Amino acid sequence: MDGHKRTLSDEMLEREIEAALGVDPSPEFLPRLRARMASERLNEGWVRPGLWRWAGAGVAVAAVVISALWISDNSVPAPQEAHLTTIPPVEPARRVPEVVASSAESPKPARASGVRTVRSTRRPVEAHPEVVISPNEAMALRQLVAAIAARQVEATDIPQLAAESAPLPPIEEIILEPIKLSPLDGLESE
Amino acid sequence: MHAHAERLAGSLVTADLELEREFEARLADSSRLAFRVAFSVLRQREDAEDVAQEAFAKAYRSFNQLRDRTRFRAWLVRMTWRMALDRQRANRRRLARELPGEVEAGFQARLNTGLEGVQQRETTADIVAARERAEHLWKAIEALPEKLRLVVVLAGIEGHDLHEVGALLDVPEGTVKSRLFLARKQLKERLSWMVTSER
Repeated sequence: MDGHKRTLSDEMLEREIEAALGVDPSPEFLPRLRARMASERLNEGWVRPGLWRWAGAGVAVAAVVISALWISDNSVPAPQEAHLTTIPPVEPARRVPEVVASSAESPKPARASGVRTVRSTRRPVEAHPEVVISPNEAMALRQLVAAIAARQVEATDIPQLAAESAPLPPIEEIILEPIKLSPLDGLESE
Repeated sequence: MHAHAERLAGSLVTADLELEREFEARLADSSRLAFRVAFSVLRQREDAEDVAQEAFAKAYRSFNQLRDRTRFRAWLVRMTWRMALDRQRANRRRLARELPGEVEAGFQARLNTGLEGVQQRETTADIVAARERAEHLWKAIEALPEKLRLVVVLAGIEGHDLHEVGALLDVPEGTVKSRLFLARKQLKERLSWMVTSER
């Protein structure tokens, strides 16, 4: 070691670098790599951009068609529905609003024979919203409507009948007694 | 219509099989290159193998989208290099969080594994000296700017010449030459003590 600096030759440097980089992977590396590729193949396979493009275009077209149908269905009233509003009442029972009892025990209204059925293009849920009440109330309501339809009861008399059948109790005035507080003599002496 | 669909499916399967065969050939051809590129950054065999494997998995997923398949090696090298740098950063962050003793142990392990490429020496003194030289060499390579560093590494792997390194990096041969010249100059300056101590 004489302290004299010399430059490293290119060959020597290359040799050092090649020696440092000349590392081989472990023998398990290649089999592990192949196994990983096999799992990739099973999981994903080749991604085909062309197929994805076609699939995307198909989905977009389907979405446009469905939305167009939906809009046209909602904006233009169906001619059959418009016809329904102008049909003269065929039978009084037909005008009874459909009431659905909350349990299965309630009898279903019998459909009168010969009644013209008008089908709507709309879904039945939208046309007749379901009203859930107790079975007894449903029965009473049906009987009332049937009685009105049979002219046994006049519809104009219903408020009067209701007032007579259930008179309200008179309103009594509530009187509050003033609260009396006794002095705490015993406690003060302590 | 049915026959047409069958023909289309059959052609897709055939195309897939051809791609599989081609990828398998590339894998056999380039696996060591990917490993060595990763090793040049990480200097740990396990980490380098992991990174090379990840790079191949990524390459596999997009292989059919690669228009020029002859560019596969260059594509793989760049991808492996980036992923190895990411792994190196993650390792450093992890080591910084660990206790100082563990950091020292990790450093020693890296030092040992970084010498695996050094040829076997006969004596213990030679081994120690080789370790020291290799460690300084790695430090000097790591200190290079990234562009120079990659050129040095690729030129040192599998005897790549200037043309091959240029093809791998997608740069002209003249650029490789000038980068290699600059890199060697900086390395020589940093490693001049090796010659001095040998005298």
